[in-house]
Amino acid sequence: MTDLISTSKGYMDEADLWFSTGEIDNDHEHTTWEEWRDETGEVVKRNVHVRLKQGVEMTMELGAMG
Amino acid sequence: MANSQAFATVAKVDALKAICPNASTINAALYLASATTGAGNTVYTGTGEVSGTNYSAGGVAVTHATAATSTGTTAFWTPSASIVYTNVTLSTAFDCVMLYDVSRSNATISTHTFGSQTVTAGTFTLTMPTNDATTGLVRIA
Repeated sequence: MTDLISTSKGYMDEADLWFSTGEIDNDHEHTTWEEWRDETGEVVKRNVHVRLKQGVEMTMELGAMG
Repeated sequence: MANSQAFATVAKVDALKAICPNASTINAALYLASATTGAGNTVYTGTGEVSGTNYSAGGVAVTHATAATSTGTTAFWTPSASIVYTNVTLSTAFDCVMLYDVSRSNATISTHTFGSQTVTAGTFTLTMPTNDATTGLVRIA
């Protein structure tokens, strides 16, 4: 059975592509990606999922009276 | 208990509600790793924004069903759903997203960075941190 996936070169048979995954995990983010390369090594599909762990924070300060 | 000098927590929540109003249309635009987007940007800018297949200038709408709230003395706000760019090709490395309020003349809310990425005929998903006083996307402490 042929599994076709949408790529930058149109629909291609997934069995003909090299599939790999990777990730970054640090205090700021956990990121995963999956990519498919054709026989020339060109990336024809790449999905990325970034999960932010931290937002930004501002601090309010009060002045002194008198 | 003695009196204390403080900025009222409710005022922090009100400030965040003004910055990130529930009724507003908020968008998320992506920026190239070579750009200089940050605190100095007062409004959305196309300078340094990514471009590519199926990516529209200005980015995508952000789902934000939950109003700013507080825990302890920290106010916080986080979009209520992941930001998703579907079936895009973004060949030049990008590492930043700007949230801005379309309903307030494209006023910048915040910018957030992450590890540099490219996307090819795929989906870029940006999942929000936990919406609390420690990790919420935008916080006033």
